[in-house]
Amino acid sequence: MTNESDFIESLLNSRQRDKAFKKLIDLYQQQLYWHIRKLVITHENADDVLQNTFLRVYKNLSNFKQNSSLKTWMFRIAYNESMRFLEQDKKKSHYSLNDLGSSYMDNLVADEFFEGDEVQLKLHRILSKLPEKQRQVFQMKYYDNLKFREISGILGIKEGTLKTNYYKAVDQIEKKILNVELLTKTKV
Amino acid sequence: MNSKVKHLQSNEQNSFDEQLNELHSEDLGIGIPKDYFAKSKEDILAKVSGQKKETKVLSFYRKRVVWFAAAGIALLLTFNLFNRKESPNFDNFPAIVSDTLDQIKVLDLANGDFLSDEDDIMVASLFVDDAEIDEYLDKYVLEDMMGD
Repeated sequence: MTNESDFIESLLNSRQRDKAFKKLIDLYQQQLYWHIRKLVITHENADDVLQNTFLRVYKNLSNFKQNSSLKTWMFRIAYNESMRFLEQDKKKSHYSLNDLGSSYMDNLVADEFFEGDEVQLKLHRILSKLPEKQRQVFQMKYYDNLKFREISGILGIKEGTLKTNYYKAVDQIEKKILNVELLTKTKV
Repeated sequence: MNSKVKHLQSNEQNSFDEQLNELHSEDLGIGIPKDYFAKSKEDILAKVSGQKKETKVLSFYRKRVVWFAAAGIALLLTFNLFNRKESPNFDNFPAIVSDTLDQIKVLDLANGDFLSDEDDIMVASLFVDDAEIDEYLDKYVLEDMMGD
């Protein structure tokens, strides 16, 4: 924590800020990118949101109260930026709130950097049908490798509720994967 | 922090990032353009640099605006102070006020010549004893009434 405090100090110091900010990008750029990518789905959108996230981080460094870790704070900004983007996108597009699953799949398939095969596509289909919060918690825990404490700081949800969401999601995914496998075997 | 620890941390970071990339690519089939993260870092730094310049320009203009506003207020206050020292000028009064003043001038109302006899009596009565007024009324007003 002392190291992080020193690092934050150098980010706030006008003489050391540029160097420290480059280091900050090196540390969190990839983690934040993948976190954002799973929320906004396409690479192009993830790239925009990632840049906005770092810009917002830079602008708000002086307001960082250190109530959470720097990592949790940055993930929270990235999450909020992604939600803001999705909200604007929803207004522009014809999708209603009930169509989130189909917008997820449409965006995924339309993304030129989606290289998934049939199995990966099936996993995405299962994920897209989960309730939004369950899917987000599952992705943050399983793919972003975040701790429940960190997810709680990002989403503002109690750890107990997060654990319930996560295990429900895991249960749903396992059941649906089993169903898919059974169906595949029956067809063969 | 010595360089060996830094090197280890950097290796740890690289290895963690590589694992993340593999997990997303193999499990979810989502990829990224070649050298994306290096290019993205440059884009972010360029945006931040642009933001810094914008902030500097904005703060320069803000300072100028504040100075102009302060100078304007100071000028207004100075004018007000000088105007207070001058005697009131009839020409500066609104039309309705100057019309009334003109009427007073024409009728010479300011000198009190506008008062009629009756008005004279009413005003004078304020400074005269009741007995004297009664005597005056008996002597002149009642005589006039009888005359009519």
